[in-house]
Parts: sequence; structure tokens; C-alpha cells
Amino acid sequence: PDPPFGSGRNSPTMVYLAMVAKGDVVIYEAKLPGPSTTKNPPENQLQFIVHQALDSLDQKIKSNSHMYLKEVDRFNNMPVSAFVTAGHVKFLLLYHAGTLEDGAIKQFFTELYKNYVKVCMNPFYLKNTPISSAIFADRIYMLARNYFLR
Amino acid sequence: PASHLLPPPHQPPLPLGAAPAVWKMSLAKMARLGDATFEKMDKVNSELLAMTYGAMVTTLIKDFQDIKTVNEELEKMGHNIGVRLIDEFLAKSGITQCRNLKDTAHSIAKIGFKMFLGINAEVAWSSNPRQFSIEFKGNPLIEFVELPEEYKDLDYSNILCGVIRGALSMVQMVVTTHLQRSELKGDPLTEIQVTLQKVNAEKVKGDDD
Repeated sequence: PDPPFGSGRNSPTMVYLAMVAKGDVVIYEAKLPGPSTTKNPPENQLQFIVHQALDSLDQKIKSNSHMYLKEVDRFNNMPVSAFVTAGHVKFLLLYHAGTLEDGAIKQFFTELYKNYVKVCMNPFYLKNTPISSAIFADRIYMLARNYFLR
Repeated sequence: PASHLLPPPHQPPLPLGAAPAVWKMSLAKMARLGDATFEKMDKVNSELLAMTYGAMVTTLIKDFQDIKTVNEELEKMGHNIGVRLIDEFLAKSGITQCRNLKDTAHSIAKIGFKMFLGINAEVAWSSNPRQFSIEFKGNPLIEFVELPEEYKDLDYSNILCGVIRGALSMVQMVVTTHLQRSELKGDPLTEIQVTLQKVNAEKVKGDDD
């Protein structure tokens, strides 16, 4: 049976997604279902890890013109994978090493980008503000399930 | 406005009880006419329309702050569009004069909505013979739109209500319209309720006026 949305919070396995806009404003973050059985890092560390990764990411952006930047940083045994949109919004994915394939992450990011663009097309959405749409959250959860759970 | 309509083509007298069959034919014919007119129309990118309309609605909200006022403004804008749109509707579709309210309702749904918005709309009737509803799914105006909680009373597509009211006012029909159901508010379809208030007699200007 499918776990109800939100149970990802209490499940032992997860992938952490953060979407960061201009000025390092986090416009979306979520714990998504993942295949790993390793214990998650504590909550307060997650944000710290992501912000640390942003610095490494900024360095990489200068030299790399691709949108998908693969691994930009690593915390203990957890890599951070990054994707930068044309509008310089950064998607960061924190996961347990060896549990996710490069191809799956890239496809996830591409689909996430499409969904992000749809949010931007909503006349009521203000740029660089947190995304509160439940429809968006559900879609991202489903994407994670499709690409990360084998 | 109504004076440039062609008189209806000569119809043979109908035997009693033949009305339903004639009616069905009329409806299918209207749908075909709607499709044919839609093909003739110049098209514009629907995403461009949706985003332009969305920008306009959000600007109205910013200017007026009050949602009720925004709803009224959208209706007024629609009315202004409707009084001009009716001429294009009559000219491009080539439709003959409507015999009754049923014809009017079906021409709006099958021809009007089809040719201007590409929407396949249906007509629903209530116990009130002077009232009908235009029902449809897939409104191009609401593409990508999600109504935030604080604007749940916003009648986002209210401009369409105004267009119907304005257009009918030019053919001597005074109606009130109301956005009864909306896909944006979680309903399965969008419903615009139209109520006939009165039919004006045609005013013919005399030579002295």
C-alpha cells in the first residue's frame, strides 16, 4: 500500500531536496522517499549541509556551463548533487552515497525543473518566494518515488 | 444591431410533436457551425492569452485590494468586450436569428465559446425556464493558475460572465450572469449561470429623431 504523503518525514530512508533562489532564499525543501536504509542526519544539520554546498556550487557554476552539475560537495558519506536553472535557481539533492544513479538524479532534476516552470507560470506566484502549492509538493513526491525507489 | 440579421430561411410548417426532432438537428447543426467558424478564426497562442489575463487579474487585485471589487471590474471589462464581440460573432458565424431562449443558449455554448475560446461547452437547464447554464471543462484562461487561499472568493473567469451579458444586451436581451462553479475552486467543471431578466422591444429610429 502506498504510504500517505508526509510519511516520508518519519520513514527511515530519505533524500533531501532544497530549492534555492536568488539571495540564498530557500523556496522549497522536502524530505523525499529514497532507497537507502542508512539513518538520516539530524534536522538541524540538513540546512547547514545544504548551505555549505551552495558555496562549492557557486565555485563550480563559474567554470561549468551545464545545468546539471552532478556532485558539488560531500558531507561525511552523503554527496550533494546540484542543478542550476536558466534563471539561476539552484536545486540541491542530498542523499546517501551509492544509493542513487546519476541518470536517475538527472532525470529527476529535469522533471523538477518542468514543474518549477509551471509554478512560475501561475500569475499568483511571486518570484523568489516559498512555494506553498500542495499540487507541486505531491508531484515532487511522486517524481521521487518514480526515480529513486527501484 | 439586430437589423442586419437575415430573415430565417423558409421552413415548411411542422406537424405537432415534430419539435424535438427538429430541435436535435438544430443542435448538431449549431455544433458543426461552431467548429467551422472556429476553423476560420485567427488563432493566438493560448499560453500568451492565459499569462496576459493572469497578469491583468493580479494587477487588478494589487490596485483594488478588495476581491469583490475585482470581480465587478472583471465583469465590467467583459461587458465592454461583449458589446463589441457580438458583431464579430454574428458576422463570422453567419447564424440566423434565434427563435427562442433555447436557441440563444445553444448558440452561445456551441458557437460562441467554440469560435472564441476553442471550448466545447454544454447547456444545462433548471426548473426556471428563463435560466440556463453554460458548462465546460478546460478553460484556456486558467491554464497554470492555482488560486491561493486568501483569494478563494475571486471569480477568476468573471470576464466571461460580462462578455455574455454585454453581447446579449446588444440583441435586446437583458440578462444577469453569475459564475456558479469553477474548476479553480475545486469543482469538476466551470458553470456560468445566465438568467433572462427581460427582452427589450427593438427601437426603430423614426425620421424625425
